[in-house]
Amino acid sequence: MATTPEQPPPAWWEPVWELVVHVLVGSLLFAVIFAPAVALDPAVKWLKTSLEVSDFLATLLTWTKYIIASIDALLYVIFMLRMGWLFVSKLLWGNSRHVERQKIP
Amino acid sequence: MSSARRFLDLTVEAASSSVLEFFRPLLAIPHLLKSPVTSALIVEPTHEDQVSLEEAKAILREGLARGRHQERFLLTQCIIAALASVLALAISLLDAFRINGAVILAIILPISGFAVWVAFRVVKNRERIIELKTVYGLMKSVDRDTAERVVKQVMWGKRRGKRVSKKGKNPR
Repeated sequence: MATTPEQPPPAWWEPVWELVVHVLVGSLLFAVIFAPAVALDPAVKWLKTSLEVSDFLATLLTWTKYIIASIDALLYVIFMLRMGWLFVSKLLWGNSRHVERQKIP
Repeated sequence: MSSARRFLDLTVEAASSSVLEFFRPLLAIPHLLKSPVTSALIVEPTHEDQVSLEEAKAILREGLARGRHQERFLLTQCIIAALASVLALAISLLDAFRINGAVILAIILPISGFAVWVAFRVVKNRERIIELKTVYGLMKSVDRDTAERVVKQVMWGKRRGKRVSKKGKNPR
């Protein structure tokens, strides 16, 4: 098996900056996916009052909104927990194999 | 200059890995649904994938160690979550029905015990199925003589395991 050459230890700010980038990008993704759920809320109300669409369509859109919001929130929480754990691992064990193991699906 | 370059590289790497990590739970669902052991056995190894026996042993050892580590971690999480759930259920029932706490615990604890036993049996059964699938896949992928040796070893191993456990229980 090929062995990788020894990496120099990372600077103190690298795990912190990585966490900051992860949090920013994760929050941005959360906001982008959550936007349709927010937009669906007034849209359903408008469709009900102005266009008087059927109850089935209104319920379908409402459930779509719930599902999008729930999945998005779940992904965000899992992402934050994983990134927090990765950060703590890097602080405790550095760039050791333990950290690499966390990345293996 | 090099530190600025390093900073930019790190930022780009972290940002790209963030996108992948965000959707990883969704990507992991189909991966979890298929058995990794059997799918690995079905795939024919290409010339590039061929590794020596020692390397294969090392990979297996590493996989086993990783599996055991994850098992311990999951077990700890499971126990904490189960205790928290039982506690929350007991408190909510205490409030909802105004029943004595001992009565609620007398109902909840046997049910929880039964649920744990069922979960344990399901996991053990799953382990046995995977083991049998692995042996079956192995027998299909090797020649007849080796397959016969594998069968003899597997059967002998099972018999020996039973004998040892019986001797251990009733020493004469």
